[in-house]
Amino acid sequence: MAPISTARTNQLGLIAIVAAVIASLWAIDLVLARVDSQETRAQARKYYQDGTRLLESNRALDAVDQLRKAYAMDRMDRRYALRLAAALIQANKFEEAQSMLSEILSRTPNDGEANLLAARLAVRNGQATDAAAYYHRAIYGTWDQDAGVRTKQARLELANLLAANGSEKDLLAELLPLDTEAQNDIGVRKQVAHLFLVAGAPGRAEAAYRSLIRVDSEDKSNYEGLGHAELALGNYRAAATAFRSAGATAQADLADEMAGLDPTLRLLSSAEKFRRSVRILELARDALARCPVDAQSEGLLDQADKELKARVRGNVTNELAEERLMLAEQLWQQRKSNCASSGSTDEALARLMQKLRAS
Amino acid sequence: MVSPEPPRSATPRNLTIFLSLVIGVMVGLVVVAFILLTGRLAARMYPAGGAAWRRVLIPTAGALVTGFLLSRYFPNARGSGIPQTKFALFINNGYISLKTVIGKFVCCSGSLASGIALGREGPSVHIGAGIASVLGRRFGLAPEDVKSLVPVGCSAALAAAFNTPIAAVLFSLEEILGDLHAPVLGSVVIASATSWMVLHLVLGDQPLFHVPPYQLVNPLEFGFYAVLGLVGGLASVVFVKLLLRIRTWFKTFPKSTEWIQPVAGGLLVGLMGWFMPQVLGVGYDFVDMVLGGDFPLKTVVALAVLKLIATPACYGSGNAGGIFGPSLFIGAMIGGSVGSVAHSLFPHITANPGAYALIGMGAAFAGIVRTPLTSVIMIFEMTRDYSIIVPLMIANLISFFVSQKLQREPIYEALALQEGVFLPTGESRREVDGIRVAQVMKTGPAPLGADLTVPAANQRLAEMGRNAWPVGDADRLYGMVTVRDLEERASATSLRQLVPPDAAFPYVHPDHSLAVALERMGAAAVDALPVVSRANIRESRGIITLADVLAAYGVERDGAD
Repeated sequence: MAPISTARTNQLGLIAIVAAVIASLWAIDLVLARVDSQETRAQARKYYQDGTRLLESNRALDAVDQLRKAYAMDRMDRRYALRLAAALIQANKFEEAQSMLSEILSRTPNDGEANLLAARLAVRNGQATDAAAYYHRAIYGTWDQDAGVRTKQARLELANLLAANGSEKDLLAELLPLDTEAQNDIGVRKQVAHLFLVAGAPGRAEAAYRSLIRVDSEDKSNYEGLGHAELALGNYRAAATAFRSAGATAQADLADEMAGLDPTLRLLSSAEKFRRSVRILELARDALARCPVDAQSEGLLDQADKELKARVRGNVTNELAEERLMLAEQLWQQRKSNCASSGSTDEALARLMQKLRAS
Repeated sequence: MVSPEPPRSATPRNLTIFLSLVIGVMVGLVVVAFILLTGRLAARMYPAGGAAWRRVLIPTAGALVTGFLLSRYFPNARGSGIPQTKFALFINNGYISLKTVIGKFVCCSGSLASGIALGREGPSVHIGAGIASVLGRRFGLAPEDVKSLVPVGCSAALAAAFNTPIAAVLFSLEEILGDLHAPVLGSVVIASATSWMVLHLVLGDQPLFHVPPYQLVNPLEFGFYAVLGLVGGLASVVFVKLLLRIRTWFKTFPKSTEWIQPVAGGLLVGLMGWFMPQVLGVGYDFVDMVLGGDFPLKTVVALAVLKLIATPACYGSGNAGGIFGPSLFIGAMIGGSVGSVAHSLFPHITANPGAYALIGMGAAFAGIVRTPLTSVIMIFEMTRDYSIIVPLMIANLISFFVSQKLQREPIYEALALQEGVFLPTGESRREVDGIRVAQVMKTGPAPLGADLTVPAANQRLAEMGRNAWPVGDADRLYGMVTVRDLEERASATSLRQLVPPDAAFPYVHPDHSLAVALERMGAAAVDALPVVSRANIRESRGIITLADVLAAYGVERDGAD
């Protein structure tokens, strides 16, 4: 029995030694792992800071190098991945940026920053529909900090995209909340006011510009914007006043000219309306005469000459004015098909014709 | 008994399982410490923004110090560790000393941290095998059982070093043992899984390489992956031939210069590092970055070429470190290069160059280490990306075949041969196992007729020079008759009395390997066996003799027919 007992004791002793070695190794590993983690993270942070600085000074390629190192060292920090993706976009490495963003979004699909970057990338790639979807996810996504500012920025970018694509209804839908969100941000409010005009909402644009003027009456660009809004609303006198306040004399003169020409203004007498219609017909005739003339144009020009030379007997009526305006409209349409470009001299007439056609 | 039983283990099964667990934990902890220590040392030697002269001085000094230690104190810790592990397994009954384990740990940590362009996985395997060997001996195991623990240690080490538990098991069986059906499979799996768990407990769940989700863009891409396999195979051949040449060249120098030889490798890699720091050390950080993005073509091509020279120079000059890591690095750079070219020419039908870098890693590994199955599983495990598996298999197999065709001897076998040792490799075993009975058997000779008299049968056997022969008629085998049967029952009138129609008898099937035929001949003590149909063992397909088997192995026996 004794040798068996000794062997057993030896084996137990050996097991105890092995256990002690394992415990020691475990402790050493934990210490090493902690040191490794701390040093690696510190190094990654340094690369990130360097990369961010380089990115801010528009050295995107150098920034990519630094941020790549940061991201390779610490993949758990989402900021590194996002900043790297931003740097890649700035460095025109779109494919790699796309792949990076896909990876981030597969992990955190509601990440506001990642969606915003993906939207910008989609805009660069000409994928407007995808971009709009990413912008919406960015707007309603989660942000680590400055959520209000960043969502406002995302919505503004989306609005600019919609404006560029001529999606007026969608644009207006984005501008309404943006107008509310941007009450304290003059820069954004100015952009919103302009975009209201693009969205075909001159009334909202006019109100927005007036509101801006109340805040800063010295800013001439607000008056100019107001002038455009008033012009679009058909308030030519008000437009001229606004343009003069902005120092835009040519545009003020144009507004004045239109004010003197517009036959649709309220409270005009029939005689005045007739006088204006004759003037418009005259201008339309001259505009067509300046273009290459074909047989159809000749017929219209002859008809216009006759109408202009004809004497009106008795009281002038609104019907007579309408007849001339209709002929002027025909001349203008013919001119548009005969002449490729319209001269600046016809701007007032062009705007009026557009208005008449719309009404 | 048809085949001989393997030697029965003297170790109780519970102790084997216990030791597998202990080896898994201990090897896992040691390998994690090895990786962390090497990484931290390297970070201190090469701080960010450090001067360029450090990149020349440190590897040279590192090679000098480790060269001295290796030459003076730890001669068995030189090189990769895989051939040394195989020496221990096949020649030294699994014996690896504790001193060698310590030497490997210390020298490789210093060497790799100083920027020597070698890898950490081969040394880890050697360290793991050494720990298993030491533990086995300390627990009083018989030499045969200590030997069976060596692959257990290897798989635990590789599981922790590469974070690839399945590939670790496969590598231990495919390369170290050369037998995917080895009886130690259970212990190997236990140790691998345990070691992997230790790794995760200490370092968390992070794959070795982070790869964006790649996918096959267009079926035509398979063509580009095939080209990558071809290029990877050619590069593997260049790598192996260069490494063997340089090693041979260094071996021509006097033994007294052995301690300073590693300096040549250190200086060369230092000079390369002066211009391209990425060539220094293991280089996994850079591989990780290449896998994620597209790097300039000239950078990845230059790095592939530099590493293709630096690693053979470091290894050949006698530095401590492995070739797994460098083969992955070279593969990633070659893949990145092929991917960049393909993507710039056909951007709409090809994936990002990072995907090619990933496949290139597998292709180079398959070509250099010659373990195609391990390499596929390893890349899959490292990246955890299933979508690349088919391109990976295509590129790996092409690279493997190209490498096999142009460089007959696998690298570890060739390195062992340089030391005058003939190691069995998985590949060589497969070649021998690859010969089937059907290729060797003869269909002409007929069985002895059942009505033949005993003296006539005796005379026929004597004429043929056989000690046994099948008995039967035209369409049915009865069994086997041996010379001893004929002598013992000489009074019988015919063979029918000796061999009844339903007698049990030894046999082989046409698809059996020659090894099985040999084993069965040995077990039955006969020098010929009937080859029978798998559908009906009474249906003869031919006869195979010992002489036929020996001739197939290239051994002629005196008097053999």
